[in-house]
Amino acid sequence: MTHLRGLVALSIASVGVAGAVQAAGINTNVALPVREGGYVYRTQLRFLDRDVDLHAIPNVLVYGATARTTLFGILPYLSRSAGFTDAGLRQSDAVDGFGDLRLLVRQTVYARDALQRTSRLGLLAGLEIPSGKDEFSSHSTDYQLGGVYTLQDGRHELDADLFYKINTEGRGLELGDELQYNLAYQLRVSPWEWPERGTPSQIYLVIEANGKTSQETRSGGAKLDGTGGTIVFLSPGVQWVTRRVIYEGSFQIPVVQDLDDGQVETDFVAAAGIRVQF
Amino acid sequence: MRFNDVTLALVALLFASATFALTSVGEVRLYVEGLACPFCTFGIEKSLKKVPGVVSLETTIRTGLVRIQLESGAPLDPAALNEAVKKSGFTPSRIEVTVTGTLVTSNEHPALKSSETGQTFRLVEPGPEGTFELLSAELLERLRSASANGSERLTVSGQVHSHAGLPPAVAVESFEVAP
Repeated sequence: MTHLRGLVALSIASVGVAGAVQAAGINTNVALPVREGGYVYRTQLRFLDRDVDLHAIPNVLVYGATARTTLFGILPYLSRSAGFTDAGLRQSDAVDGFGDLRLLVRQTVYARDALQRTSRLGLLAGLEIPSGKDEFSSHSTDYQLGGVYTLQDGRHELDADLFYKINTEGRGLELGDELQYNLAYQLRVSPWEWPERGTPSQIYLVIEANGKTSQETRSGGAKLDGTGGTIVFLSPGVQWVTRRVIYEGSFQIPVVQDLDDGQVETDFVAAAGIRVQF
Repeated sequence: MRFNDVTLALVALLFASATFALTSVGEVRLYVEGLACPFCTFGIEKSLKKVPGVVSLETTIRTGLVRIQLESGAPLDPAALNEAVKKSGFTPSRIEVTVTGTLVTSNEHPALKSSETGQTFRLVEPGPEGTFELLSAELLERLRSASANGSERLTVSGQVHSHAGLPPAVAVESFEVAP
């Protein structure tokens, strides 16, 4: 039961973890390029306010294999604590460790550039290796397919992604497949107009919708109660974009929590992070 | 002591003159399409800095213009600059240069040859809609006249492009006798 509770918590957290691949929207993926031979490292601190508190630190390393092919390695570090009453006694349960390693490749299949404008479409495929700590691992090799689109036009940016994750069985437990969908709009508010010369740092206001629909978890072929459902966040945020580092913060408010009975609901998710390229 | 000071000053003057004389290609202006945030300009600049001869860069995001300073005496390689932009994932639009050299003929084409680096630039004319045309007889005559039939150095500005196996070509948009 503890294992399942950890997986459910990780599953909810992964709305952001997956989104942390390399986002322009803070929780939404982006199709912008990473230069050939270049690296981007991204990390966040994500705090989920729920009956089971979960802190997630997604570590993402991005490598530009070519101008159109980008590789991602994602290794989340998770910390979960919960208080509960057992036989009239107040108990606490805390655990931390790495989650499963996720490897992804993104291939740009469409790119159209113009002055102050770019429009790109990328396809993503990858897998999740059961390398994490027991409490945070699915114990199965899972697969992910998806697409991501970005339109940057002057002070406006739109990002959208869609992912399907095929979860397989591990240790007699098979998490349901997941569909993730994210949409982000960003508005550059500073500087409102670019200067005649140079490239200043920029501040963006971000609004996102981040959703995930999961099928029920199965054990021995039978569906488990209290698993599966849909959660959608509305996520305002802010980004400070410099040439080398991006600082960002996001506050995710659940607007849809259509979860199977018995699941703990999320009150909010707070995230703060940085991205550094080198 | 005074002798040493004078010597040092002369050496410094000679070095400065030599450095100035070696600079045959002025600022290179590379225009890039697709730039819309500072994080992207970093990637382009990192790629461009790997091109031999590039010593400094400044990117203006509003216009997509990357101003490039080449090392003194370094030849200009437009294909390498374009390739660097492509490797960063963006689209090179055009490259403009200002070149100083002597009017010569290269493979029966009018050209400008830098006496400092020996690099030759074929001279062409801007055509309609971003195309290039052979140098007209009229413009060639004006260039010959201004250079006193090749005895005076010329400074030529214009868009540069390259073809495999050929020297880069400059589409003459303006020119003057070099000081």
